[in-house]
Amino acid sequence: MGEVLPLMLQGFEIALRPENLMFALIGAFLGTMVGVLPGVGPAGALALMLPIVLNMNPVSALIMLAALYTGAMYGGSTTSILLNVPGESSSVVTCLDGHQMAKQGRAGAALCISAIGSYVAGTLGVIGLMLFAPVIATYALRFGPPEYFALMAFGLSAVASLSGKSLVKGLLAMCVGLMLATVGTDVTGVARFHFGLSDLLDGVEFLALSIGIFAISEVLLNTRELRTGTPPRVLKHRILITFAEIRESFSAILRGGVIGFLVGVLPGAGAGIASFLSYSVEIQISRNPERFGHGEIRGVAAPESANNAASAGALVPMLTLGVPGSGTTAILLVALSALNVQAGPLLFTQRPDVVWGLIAALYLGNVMLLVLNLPLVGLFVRLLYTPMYLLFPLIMVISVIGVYNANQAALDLVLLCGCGVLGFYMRRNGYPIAPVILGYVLGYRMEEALRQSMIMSQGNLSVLLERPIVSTFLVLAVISMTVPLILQHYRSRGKKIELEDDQG
Amino acid sequence: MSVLRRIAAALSADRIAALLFLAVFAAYGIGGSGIRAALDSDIVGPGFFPGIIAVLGAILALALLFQPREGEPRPLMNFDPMALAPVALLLFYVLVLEYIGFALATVVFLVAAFKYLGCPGWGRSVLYSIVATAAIIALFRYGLELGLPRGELIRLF
Repeated sequence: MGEVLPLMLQGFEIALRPENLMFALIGAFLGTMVGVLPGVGPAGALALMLPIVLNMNPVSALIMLAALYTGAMYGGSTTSILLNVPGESSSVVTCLDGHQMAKQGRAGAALCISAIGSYVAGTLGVIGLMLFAPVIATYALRFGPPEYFALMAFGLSAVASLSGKSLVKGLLAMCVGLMLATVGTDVTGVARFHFGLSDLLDGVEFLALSIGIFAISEVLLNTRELRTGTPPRVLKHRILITFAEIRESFSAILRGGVIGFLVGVLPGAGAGIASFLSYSVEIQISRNPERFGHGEIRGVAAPESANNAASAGALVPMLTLGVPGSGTTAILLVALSALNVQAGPLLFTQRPDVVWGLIAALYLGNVMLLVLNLPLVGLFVRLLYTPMYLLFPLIMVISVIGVYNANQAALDLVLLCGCGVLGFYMRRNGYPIAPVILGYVLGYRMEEALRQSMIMSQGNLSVLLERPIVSTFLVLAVISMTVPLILQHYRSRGKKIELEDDQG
Repeated sequence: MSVLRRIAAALSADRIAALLFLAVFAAYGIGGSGIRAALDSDIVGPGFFPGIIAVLGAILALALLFQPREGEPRPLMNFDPMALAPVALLLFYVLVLEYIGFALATVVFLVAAFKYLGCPGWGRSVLYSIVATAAIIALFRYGLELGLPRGELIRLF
């Protein structure tokens, strides 16, 4: 700690220079604006800005990119909350409760808690990055394929079993997601389930699936109500969050921050898994798990905190080992190389100005986000007052642009329509849609981890159960699936007894 | 027809879905088992994981098929095809997008969608759609330099 403090102060001295403050502000603003658009996301936002920042001095360039990164992470949640349009995998979970809050006239509270959670957890992440980066990086490398598989199995089973009224439907939705993840080329280069279509060799486009299943199905459900004469109510939205709501979500923010940072450190895990995992942990420890999915503020606070802390965590392997943990950090790594800065164990000693400037910039980015976005909440909420007959078609057009820009393939747009119909059917018939997305996001990595584990154990998976982390996660996965079943059984027995009493 | 209706009444929407899931997972599992590994040394193979999903999915589909009904079954016959009209409109839009170009396709789609959803007056629908399309093109094509399809049609002129 004694060594870290002067370096950290030096970093802040660099980041607080007026020109760097300005770059941080511009980065956070542009990141938020670009992050709002589906299909662009943090990685896209960074890629768009790369040609511009490469002409700047390395420290200012990294400060701007760091602020852009945090801004884009936050921007993605705005459309998730207001329009049920997730821009990337890390903001999918925010849709579940965030959009329900918006429907209840609490969009302002959802946006505020998202900004506050992002700030607090982002700060926690930066502190973690400062204090534990080298230690955590070496430990993360010990996390082998069996541990990854078990971690993902736990996250998946928890969300699938707790995100709907029916366990069977939740698990079926998860299987649909896993099945979609196997479309395309597998880890060894074998093409599967592509029906002869070359556009499917890279798999089902994530944006087509997520935007279709969330946004298009939302539009279909609402337009049906518009046509049948029961239009969605235009509510008077409360702009500010209450102190009680902040107090209620604070522990979820802290938990989300810690989970997000730790998951973010694992190479390849990323903000998407962090947000899903923190959400499932919140449901599991909640006294009222049935509130989740119906506008529970902790269901917004936890994933939003986790995805921001994960973005700080993802910098740990990138800076200390030169291993990018996500697509976004891979672009940051490219930016570092282009700026003649070599990431790796020597970076902390050779270029402390860059490392500590970047860490301080991340913190400043979080401050900028709070300063910028809390006043903008009112402006964003006004979007919901747009007449439905204008809003829904525009959501569809922006969704089409987002999906089309991923690969410029017409097939993705047809898939978007198909996924919209699938989401509409599922939501009308009591199937939770979150497990589909989670199954899809985790499926490929789960298969990769399982196959590597099988090779490691020469086909004998029981050997892997001797690894303590693996067995812990697998036991947790079994518990998360069996506890809701037992509870469901007791609840239905209770109902039967009540009915018999009433009849008697 | 009446026999079909009676069968439909006997099956709840969940049971129909369960049969559909069963068929999909069976086809998926059979399809996966026929895929050959790229290397003979690959002890797992590309069909292993799909096989696990197919078995799990089929078991869950059977559980859905045989689980006791809760309350009244959802009637199958009151499906309103008009609920899917916006997606038909969207499908038409995405199919013509690359042919007639983003600008024209979007204006036509927006006019139809605005009107379908109750925008008062044709003139207003046309005006709103032209303004919205121009704003979207300015933002995405010129602001963010993202590629929007110009269309095959433009090359004919």
